[in-house]
Amino acid sequence: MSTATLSSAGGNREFTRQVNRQNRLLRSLRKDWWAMGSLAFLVIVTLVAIFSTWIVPDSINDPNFGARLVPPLTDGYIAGTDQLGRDVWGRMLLGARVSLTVGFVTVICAALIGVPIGMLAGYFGGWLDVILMRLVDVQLSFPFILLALTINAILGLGLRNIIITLVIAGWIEYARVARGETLVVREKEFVQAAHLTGCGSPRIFVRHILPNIITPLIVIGTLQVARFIIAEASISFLGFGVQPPTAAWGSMVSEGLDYIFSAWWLITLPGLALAFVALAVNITGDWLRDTLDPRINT
Amino acid sequence: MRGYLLGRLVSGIIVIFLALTAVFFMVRASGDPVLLFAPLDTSLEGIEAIRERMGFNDPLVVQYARFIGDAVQGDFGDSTRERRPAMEIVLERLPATLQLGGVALLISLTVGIPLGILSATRHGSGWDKLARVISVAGQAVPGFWLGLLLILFFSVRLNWLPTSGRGGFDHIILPSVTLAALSTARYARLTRSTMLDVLGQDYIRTAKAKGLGDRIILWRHALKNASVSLITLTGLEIGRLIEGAVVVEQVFAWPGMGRVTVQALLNRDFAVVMAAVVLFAAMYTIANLLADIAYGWANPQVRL
Repeated sequence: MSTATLSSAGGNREFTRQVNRQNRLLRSLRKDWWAMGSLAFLVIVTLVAIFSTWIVPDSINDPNFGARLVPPLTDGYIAGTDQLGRDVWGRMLLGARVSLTVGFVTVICAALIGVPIGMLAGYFGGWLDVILMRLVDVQLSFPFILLALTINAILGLGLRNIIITLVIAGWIEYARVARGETLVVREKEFVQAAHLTGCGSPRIFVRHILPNIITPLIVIGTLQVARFIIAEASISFLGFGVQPPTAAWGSMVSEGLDYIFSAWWLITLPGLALAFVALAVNITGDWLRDTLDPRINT
Repeated sequence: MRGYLLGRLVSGIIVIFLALTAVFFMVRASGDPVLLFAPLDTSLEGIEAIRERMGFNDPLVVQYARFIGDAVQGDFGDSTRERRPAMEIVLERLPATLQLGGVALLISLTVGIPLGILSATRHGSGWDKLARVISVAGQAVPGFWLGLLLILFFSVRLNWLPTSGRGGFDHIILPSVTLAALSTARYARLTRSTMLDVLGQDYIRTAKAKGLGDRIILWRHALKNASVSLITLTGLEIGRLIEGAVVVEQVFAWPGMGRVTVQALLNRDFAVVMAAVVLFAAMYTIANLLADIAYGWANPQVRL
């Protein structure tokens, strides 16, 4: 009986906390025009990415040598055409799909792997913790992009492998943060109390620790989306990762390299899309941090 | 102090060792390692010859022991492409990377920190807005794209600066500015937030009450205390500059370690990749060691 009361009270508190958080976010969003604009922009880009295969005709990747290197805003081409006469604007819309898929899928997978491991290491300590911290050291002494390139060179090219690559290179960040936060929360009275009232470890993890460490993880996750999107573009730019004729912003810039003297738009416009999305994600992440938890230092 | 530094050195060596082990097993786990080491146009007999020569027919444990034994002596095998020691190839490129990274660090320190200070001391002013725009935009712009934009504008359109390669002073301007952009943004951001924090402390108010001039307060009281977190950032920043150099060197055809590593990866020349990995890790360890020493100097409360 007593446990039932306790847990339902806990449930109520958690519910209230969630509602509070949502209210706070909505209130601050109304005041912050930058954050609102960024969020709106990201929603539009996400919709474009989802529906791009309907918006853009299937023939987008077919060469059209009659219309090679047409500058932007001529002959009905918004962003001009590339060296094969393909519509750059249409390919940029398709490229949104690659970037957003990579950004979101990678962050979610990396978090799903990193957070449980980090929590376990932080809560129980011992050998898991030792191994994790060593892994963190190794990873920190390794340029992220080099690690990703090496894994990618070994796994092989393509979108699926680039996601795997980025997850392997990126999960440890979540493990590190989850571990640090768990170390702090573990010592709090309510965790001790839950332990004493006989809650099992899984329950303590999911119901008591996770809600208290989720905020910094959300913030870091948001900022990581931008980092992963740029990492994918850099890797594709370097010739690993997404391969032609698939349209991805990084590889589009790379393909435009040979025409740097004659067709500025091939390099400029896909990169601009990339920078705008990364900027919008970062502004949203900063806003989330300032609103939810200004203590977090990223 | 000496014990601490020794400890850090040992852990640095362990890290390098683990990094090597990881690469070794990744290369082995990916299937037939010979295919990774062999150039793409090798014939079947050629592959067999390489397999025998590189000892891939031996048990894994033997291969691993031999690999580590050689690596300790700085021997990572020969580059399959250039047929000379991999470490030699990478070491040749080290000065170019150090030069590029050093200039970039200098730029980001001399631009980022003053910008952050201005932005904190004139909170809400035009400088503050500029610093905030730079620190937000700087983190969103992909390095390779910024580099290409600079080339488009300063080399292609204005024809002021060379597009690529290493040479005179004019060659390093564009790559180092590109590389410095991101870290300038981070310095401006961190300096601003730390200085805002420090300037709100009681001892600053005391110093003001004593009648000390603004300049002395800023330099002797505020900046010295803010420098602790700036030094920590510099340790991290060196690592990030190395990371950025991998991409930037490729954009500007700068003949450094990053470029040689990317080329080696494209050519599947894994001996060179492994040598580069070790050198990158060593550079990072040394940078952090220096940051730790500087940290203890700036903040005597920290006993190393």
